[in-house]
Amino acid sequence: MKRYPKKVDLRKTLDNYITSEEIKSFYKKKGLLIHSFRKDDVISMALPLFLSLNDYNEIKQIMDDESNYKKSTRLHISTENLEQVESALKSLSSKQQSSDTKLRLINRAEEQLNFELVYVKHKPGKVDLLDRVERKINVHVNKNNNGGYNLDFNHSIGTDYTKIKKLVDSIKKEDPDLDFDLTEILLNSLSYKSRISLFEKFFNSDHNIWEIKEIKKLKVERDDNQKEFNDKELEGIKTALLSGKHLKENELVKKTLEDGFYFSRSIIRFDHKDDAEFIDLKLNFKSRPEMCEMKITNSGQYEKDNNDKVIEKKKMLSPNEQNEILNLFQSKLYQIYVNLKENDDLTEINVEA
Amino acid sequence: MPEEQNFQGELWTGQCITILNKIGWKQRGTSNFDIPCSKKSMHGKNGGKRKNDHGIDILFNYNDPYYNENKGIIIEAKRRKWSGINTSEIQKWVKQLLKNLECSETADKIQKYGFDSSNTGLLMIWCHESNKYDKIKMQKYLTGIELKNKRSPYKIYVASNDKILKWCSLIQFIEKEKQKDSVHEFKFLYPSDYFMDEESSSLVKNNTLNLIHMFSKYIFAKSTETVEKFNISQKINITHIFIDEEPNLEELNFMYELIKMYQLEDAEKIMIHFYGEKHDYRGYIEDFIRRINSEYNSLDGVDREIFSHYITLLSDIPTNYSEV
Repeated sequence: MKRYPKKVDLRKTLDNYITSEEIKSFYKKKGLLIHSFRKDDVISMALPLFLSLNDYNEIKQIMDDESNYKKSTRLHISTENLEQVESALKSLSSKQQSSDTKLRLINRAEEQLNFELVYVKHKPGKVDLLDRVERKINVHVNKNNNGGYNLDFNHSIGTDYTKIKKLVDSIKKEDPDLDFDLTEILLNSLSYKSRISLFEKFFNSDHNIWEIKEIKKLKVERDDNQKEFNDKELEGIKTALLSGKHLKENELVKKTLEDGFYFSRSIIRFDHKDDAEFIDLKLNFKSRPEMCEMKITNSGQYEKDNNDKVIEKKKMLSPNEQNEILNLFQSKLYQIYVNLKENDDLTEINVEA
Repeated sequence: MPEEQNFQGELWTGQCITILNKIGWKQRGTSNFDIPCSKKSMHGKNGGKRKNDHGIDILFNYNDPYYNENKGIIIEAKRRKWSGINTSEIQKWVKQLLKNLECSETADKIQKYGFDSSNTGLLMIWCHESNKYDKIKMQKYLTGIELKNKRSPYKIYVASNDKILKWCSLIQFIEKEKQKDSVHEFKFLYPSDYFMDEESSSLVKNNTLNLIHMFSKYIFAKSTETVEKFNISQKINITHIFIDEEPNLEELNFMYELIKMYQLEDAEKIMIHFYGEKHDYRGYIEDFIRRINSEYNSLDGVDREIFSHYITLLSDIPTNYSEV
């Protein structure tokens, strides 16, 4: 944020993008307790306080805005030697000071490492010929159960992902002794059969504190053709899943797959097993650049209204809460992927069905 | 022990009165008075009817320039050791104060002053084990407070050591300034914004500090001072901005945007006051001050300079505050 917001804009923000409960909870920390039923009154009481940049940044995080939901991608490196990765990163960061890309180590603890990649992206500007946009990506490196490390990062545009991939290549080149494989979950490296199984097994997995309530969207893809199942078809697929049947045996799925389609995207509603919380998780396999992206697209709580009807009340999750949940699903999906890949019939890969 | 506790409690009430007097608020009536309960069936314990009156610690009022209103404020003063301050205790005090506010609307002892509004309370919590006081924990306690969904709205401000000491430090700074022969006027400043009463659309200078700024990240003030320039003494205007935030460079630039937006630059001198020494941020602050001054220097016909100042942060309530 570069400009100090006018009160009238803050009013609009509070009115349109933040719930009454969230406003009250934000101002509580500032020492202002608002006891009011009507949102108008809550806003009028909160609005006069002069807030700092720190406060406004916090407000932006609470806003029910698409951009506040983080896209997460995970890469895996097969090295066991974090020290070597760390020293390669250090050496890279000292070299890059003058260019448009900067690398900075943030902290290092046992078996984990955080670093930050800042780069400048140019895009056609409204006032200047080119606008310089500074992009910052935080990467968390954590030990995984497969004898390597996970690189988790949030990104919002395709270049973020490409930059991180390039960086991983540079890490490898920086130290000739450092040899590792970079893997990520890519549909193209699986046979058609396994691509379906990846989704099926993910739907049927135990997801710790979360359980699948509903498959809200399912998209199939063939070459550049995409199609989405309609509600009725989804209902049939869901029934097949819940009755323990193999997805591939469902007539509709069978027909679709026979036509050479495979699953590429799904939005899944998860309910918390103990609390009234819910999230919608979007699992998306993109093709340019090819990558697996996970994102929470909606979150909140179930509540009962005055007529005892269950309603959904939206509640934004903090970036940390989102990452914690996304990490859980990333790990699950990766485990399924690794198992499928090990047992995959490689001759089937990239063969049109 | 209870007697000693009562004495200390009274002492704290007295200190609260001194603090609020010093920022231009006016006490109404005596401290510790009762008002009848007008919502007996709602204010009783365990579903029963309430038998007792409500005890009010202190009643104050001030004119709020933002609302153009004479506001009555009910204050509840609590002095405890650190272990006596937690979410459930604060919840009790908030509940008590909320009931006081609800019944104040029909209480003659309050209504006789003819306030334009009396739906605001201030809970002043003092932890006398100041070395144990934890600002972050206090914030967590507040996060846990349950709020009532009232049809007619009430607000309760909660201050504890961190805020209270900053107010005392500010008061001490202003008092010292006012004692200087060269300083002629020192008043709080209320810039306009169009969310407020349309009639009060210009800058207002006032001896009173309102609750809005006491709980905001910024307090504004204006003073005039006589200075010697080229052997000629002249009166200059000074804008003061007191900032209660970690002043990194982004935060300082953001504050400068605020200064411009509210047209606070109309002065020969702009003083940015920080609470405490802010050693970790000195580099940012110096960079910022240098940059703004070089901007001012490059403007033709502008005789203005910006300065940073570090207010001595008090570690306790000044001893003379107990004399009411």
